[in-house]
Amino acid sequence: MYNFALLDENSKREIRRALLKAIAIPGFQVPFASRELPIFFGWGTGGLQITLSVIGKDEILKVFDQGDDDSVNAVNLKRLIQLTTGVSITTETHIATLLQTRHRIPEKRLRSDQVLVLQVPMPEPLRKVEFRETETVRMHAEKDYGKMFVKLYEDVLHHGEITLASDYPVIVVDRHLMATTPIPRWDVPKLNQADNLYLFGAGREKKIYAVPPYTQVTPLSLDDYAFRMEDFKGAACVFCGSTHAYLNEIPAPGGGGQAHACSDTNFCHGNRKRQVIEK
Amino acid sequence: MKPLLSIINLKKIYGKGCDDCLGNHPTMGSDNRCPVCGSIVACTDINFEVFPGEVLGIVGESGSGKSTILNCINMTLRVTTGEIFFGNLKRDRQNILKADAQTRRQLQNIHFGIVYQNPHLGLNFQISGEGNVAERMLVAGNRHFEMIQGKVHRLLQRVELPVSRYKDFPGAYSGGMQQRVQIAKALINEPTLILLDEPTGGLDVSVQARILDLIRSISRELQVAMIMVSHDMQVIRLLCERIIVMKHGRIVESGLTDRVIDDPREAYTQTLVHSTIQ
Repeated sequence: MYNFALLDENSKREIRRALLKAIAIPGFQVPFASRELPIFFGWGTGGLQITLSVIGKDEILKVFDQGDDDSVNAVNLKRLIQLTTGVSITTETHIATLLQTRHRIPEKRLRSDQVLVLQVPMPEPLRKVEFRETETVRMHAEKDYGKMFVKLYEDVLHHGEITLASDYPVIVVDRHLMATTPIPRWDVPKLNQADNLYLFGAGREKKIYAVPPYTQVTPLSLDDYAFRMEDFKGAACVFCGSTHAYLNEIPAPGGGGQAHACSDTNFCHGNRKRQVIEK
Repeated sequence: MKPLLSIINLKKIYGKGCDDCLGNHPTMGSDNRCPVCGSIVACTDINFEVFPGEVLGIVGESGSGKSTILNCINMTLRVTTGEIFFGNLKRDRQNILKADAQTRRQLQNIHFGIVYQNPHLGLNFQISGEGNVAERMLVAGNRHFEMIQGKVHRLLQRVELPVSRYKDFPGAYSGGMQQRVQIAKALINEPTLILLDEPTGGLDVSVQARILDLIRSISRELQVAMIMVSHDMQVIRLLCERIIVMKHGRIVESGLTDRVIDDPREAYTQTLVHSTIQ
């Protein structure tokens, strides 16, 4: 009924060619012919096309959204991929060989045999300071990133610190400025010298880019105002007690006030399972 | 002394052009148009030199090609033909129109400074006045906030922008303050050449006088070369040692300011000098 992995072979080949170019020039945005899919642009079509193009029959797939394996979008993407490929699905980070994500990188360090695919809404980091595509292309070509530093300067001037919360721009191998997609600053250091391959896909904007393993990725900063990760001020997850994870604020279980919980649900479950066994 | 800037046979034509207006000495009509093909000859046969620390004036009525020359030097306009050599050391003297994009951007950002009559061309109205000046340092590769801010504040103090207004956006400044910020922006990277395109046009007389004072003292202190475009003979007389008179895109007369103003040779220069309101 469907071709393996939904897309026709020529489309997959075209996307794989774009991926090879992206890996060869880390951080550089490669244009590609984004295909029609049975989901809307803006719901992960870029990530999905990459996943469908690189997936093999023996792959073990994990799809998660905001760190959660069971959110609606993640479940629907998983169903679509499983229906058209028949691969097995997991929620366990360490079992998966191919992972697709929106907004988070797993807390557990990924291995060299794993590939993480990120869904990207806005691939152009310079769009914040320059709305013309012709100009941003020129700025990348000439490594003319002064305007981006002006944004940091203005931030420090008006607010006393750099206010970029998510989608923190990074410089890849001292050459290309790259958008990190709306992952929190907490996840940005995971891109640097990683063991695994990162693939980024923006379906609506028709761009693919990549960070290969063991690549230098530096967050943009001023000499005296360094990049900082989120600070949870010692808060711990109400379920697993972790203080070394990216935490979401949730209404306290049982009512009354706020509590924190791990955003990476698989990481949180793993911690709790281990605590039960230890007891 | 070796010249800092040499302009050789500069020509800028809008339109198709023909053998006549693209040639060496095109026929001059009654205006900027080529009498043969009707293309606009913005400037042609432009040859002059600027020496280090010198202030050169360019005068002429609207549409005579003054700003075109500045924009060609600043590389914001593509010239039709001609060469512009910059640099007074033999090893870095080069035709800037043939330089690669990175070198040209470096020249624009570090070695040149430009002040426009219209502050919207020179300033970014989305960021603070201070940020506008800092931008040039950031583009030049400085990355230390405190160091940049210190230098920017010293310069803003020098151009007499009130301290309380540094963080405001340029839209909230008066015309005179906007020009002060533009001048600070042009100066921050200690350029060797500053291009001034009617910097005091549209300002009232007292503000104009203070801005001119500022430009004059800067040129004396820093020994920076300037090209000043103006249609105001008084302004030119005050600031420039040498002037060029332009008409219909051609240089009609040039020489020492006093000589040209007190003893104009060309009929057009005589009209220009005598049409000043006394």
